Amino acid sequence: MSALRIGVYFCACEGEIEKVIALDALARETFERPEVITHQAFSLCSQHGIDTIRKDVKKFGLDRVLIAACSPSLKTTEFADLGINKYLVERVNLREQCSRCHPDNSENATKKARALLEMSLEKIRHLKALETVLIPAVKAALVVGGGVAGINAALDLAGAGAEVFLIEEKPFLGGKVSDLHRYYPRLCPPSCGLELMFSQLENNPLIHVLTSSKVEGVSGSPGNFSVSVRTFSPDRADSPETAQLRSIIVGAVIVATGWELFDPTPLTGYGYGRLEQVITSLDFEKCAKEQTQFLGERKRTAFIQCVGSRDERHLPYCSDVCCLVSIKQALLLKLANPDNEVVIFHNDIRAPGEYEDLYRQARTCGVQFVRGIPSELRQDTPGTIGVSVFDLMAGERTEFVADLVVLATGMKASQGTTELKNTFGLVTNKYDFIESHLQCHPQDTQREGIFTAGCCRAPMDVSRSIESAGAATAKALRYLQGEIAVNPDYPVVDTLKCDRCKRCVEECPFKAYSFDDEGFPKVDILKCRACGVCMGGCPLGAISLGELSIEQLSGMLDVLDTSYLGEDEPIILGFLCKNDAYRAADDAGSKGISYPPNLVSIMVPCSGAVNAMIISEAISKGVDGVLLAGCADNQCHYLQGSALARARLADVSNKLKEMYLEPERVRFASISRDDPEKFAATVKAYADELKQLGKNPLRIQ
Amino acid sequence: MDNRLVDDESLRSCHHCGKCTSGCEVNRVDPSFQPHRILHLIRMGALDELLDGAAIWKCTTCFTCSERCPQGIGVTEILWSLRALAFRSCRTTELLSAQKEALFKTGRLYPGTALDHKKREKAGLPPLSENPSLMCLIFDAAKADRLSS
Amino acid sequence: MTLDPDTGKAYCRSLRDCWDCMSCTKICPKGAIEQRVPYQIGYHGAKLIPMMGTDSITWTCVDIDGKVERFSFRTRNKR
Repeated sequence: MSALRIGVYFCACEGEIEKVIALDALARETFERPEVITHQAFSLCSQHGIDTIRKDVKKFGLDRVLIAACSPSLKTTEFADLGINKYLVERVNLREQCSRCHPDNSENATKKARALLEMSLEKIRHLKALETVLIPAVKAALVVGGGVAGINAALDLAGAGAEVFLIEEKPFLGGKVSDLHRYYPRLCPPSCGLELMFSQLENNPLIHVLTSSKVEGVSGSPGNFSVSVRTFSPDRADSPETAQLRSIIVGAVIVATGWELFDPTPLTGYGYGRLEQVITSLDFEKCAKEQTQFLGERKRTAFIQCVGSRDERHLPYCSDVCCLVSIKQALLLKLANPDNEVVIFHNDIRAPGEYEDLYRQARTCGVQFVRGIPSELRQDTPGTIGVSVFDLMAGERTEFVADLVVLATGMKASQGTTELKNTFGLVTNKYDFIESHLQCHPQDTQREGIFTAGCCRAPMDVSRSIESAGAATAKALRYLQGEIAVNPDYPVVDTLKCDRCKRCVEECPFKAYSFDDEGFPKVDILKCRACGVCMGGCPLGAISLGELSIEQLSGMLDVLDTSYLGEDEPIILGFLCKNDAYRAADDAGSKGISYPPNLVSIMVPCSGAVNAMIISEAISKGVDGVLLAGCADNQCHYLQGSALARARLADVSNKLKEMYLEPERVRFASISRDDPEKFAATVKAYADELKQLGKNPLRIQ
Repeated sequence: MDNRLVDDESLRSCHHCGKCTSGCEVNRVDPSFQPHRILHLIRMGALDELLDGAAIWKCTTCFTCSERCPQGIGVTEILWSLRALAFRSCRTTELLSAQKEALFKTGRLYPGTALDHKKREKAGLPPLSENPSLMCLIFDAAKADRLSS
Repeated sequence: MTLDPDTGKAYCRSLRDCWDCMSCTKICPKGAIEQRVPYQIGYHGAKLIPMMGTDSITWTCVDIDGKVERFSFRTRNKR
């Protein structure tokens, strides 16, 4: 094996690290290794520091660069281009997780720094030069759903230069909005906006509108989805077999399958379907639109809010718009005829932001608001409905006789959404809407290259639907540039080791694996999010990520001096997830929260990336305790990553028990990004506990 | 006062819609009986006022409130629990005393109405007797005097 | 060892033919398999428990008196 030439650079961090850690001594020791040239700099991230490294890389023909300085999550731009492939650069955290968190313990901090350095010097041998992968992609997008969200997504995408296929199930575009009489807050007719949108669609050569069409199947990857679309004749006279089938290749998909109105028939007390004068808010819009006299002719109208909404038995959530819809409709009644008596029976009124003005306007126009929800409606005389309700403000029962009762019901996920969920393998939430990652990525689905716009994700009003279409377009554009750049941190399966147990395929949170011709798992690097859950689950250790391999980890365990703090001090090996625990640990250092130097940490993409064999190996090589620190289950960026980590850890713990070792030697900790105190407390408590437990019997002197 | 019987998670999920009182048949007839107010008082910790009062005894347990509550609160069960609490802390109202008197005197909780007599006649049943001697014997034997506080 | 097609669970299909190679015990990711050490090797009550690392294996041996010994070895997995 040809000798590696490693440049090791210690940053004194303008004196800060130097105060606690004996960098001179460490540098001298490291320099004794034949393959290492070292350099100490006052401030490595300065232009002078960077230039020095670049010069050295050229002059000495360095194969690897090790930077012992601040946290690897910092100064990434400064260290991005050192004249060497950036995947051959390794960083050791001597500041946030060493000097800053052990400020009063210079001797031990130096010992820990030495241990960290040893591990990194070993890891660096196994690093490989990796390059970004460029995958050709098609500059076309698919929008499923021709409502206001879908139409705007199509227009925005075409505006960005992409070809668009807009698929709509019905024979016409417009969705629910075409049924509405007026928008709020301007009380303007939707037809004005719709007409503009339709003419823009028609005049745009990039947009292909396919009405009476449905998506039947999809295959391929982001950048190159192959979607089969079936187009029926408008009267649906043809059967699924005879209707035209075509295949479209698209780079990204925006799902805009909208919503359906909750049918209040199950709330039998309100008599929807039985009593003629009881209608829904959508019925109201249609009547107002189609019958010119409808608004003026009403005499006494009652609105009932939250029908079936915020209700454990029907829709447990709030549909966001119903209060404002009723306020709008009430206002229209009053404006059509000031003598109309209008009452809104409500629970809470939700009119956020500037919509509060509309709420005030309704009140000053004479719309009555009664806080109290009626339990049922009675037909006392033909043509009138008796509304009997306990008026909570008045503190007594009140009776209202109405000739029209409007039930404000909520939005639920549409049939189209459910069908598409099955076709694309999307994840839905407990309310059947498409699951997204609020607040971080509201337009993403849990599948790469597929985004949502409009109400298929959650109930929202028209302005938010249109906004979300723009947001989805912005996200989708990454896949519509003609090629997609994929980071080389995706997993690689060693087919020589793999025995085709399929664990990785089943556990992948993003369904990025499929099978190749020989039955070996094959990862679609476009669908992969490099969480490492596959690497963590493989019973044979056959999968490694581009940036973190089983080999590296195993090597690091080999060189870790499990007595670096002396015979009597326990050593904890920590695997910290990069999104939560590692940042919390860095934060602890930044905030000067100290904890014992018994922990050496390794950053992993997700706690689910840690393989049980590595944990077992750590114990058998003498580590006293293994700490797996990840996020809480429902916050994992990679869905079930931390849940899987916990389950695997429990198995290792059981095995330890069987071996007459202490099951406490492995531990999972839920550390939130913003909880450095908890991190420090966890390390301290674990170190104390392990001290009580005693040395690992497998620790070799 | 032990709140455990009545104050729990489901009660606290109430979002003050007032549907329980709106649909309450007793409230229609007696406006002072307001189930939503009773629940609110429990949450505010004003149990004593409730247990000393007559309101909790007016519920006919028709379950309309429980059926319609959007948060799935078992309003009827809570009222039952209040009655149990009142009983355990030896608090009863005239309502209850009156019922107890009626039970001991006549053997029934309420006197038969004209409609009851008519229906019994039609069914060929003997008329309701006012002589409760048999009932009193049973009560004595069971030492039912303990019912009085 | 083979898989039951109905439950998908593994089971030993011919106990008499088992050679006690313990491949199954070593590889099971859940640690669900236990080897009953034959009488000739360890007597009743003895245990042999493997724990796999990526390039090593640690054996825990418990003899008939309950004495525990552990042995770690490099395996040939490392390339």
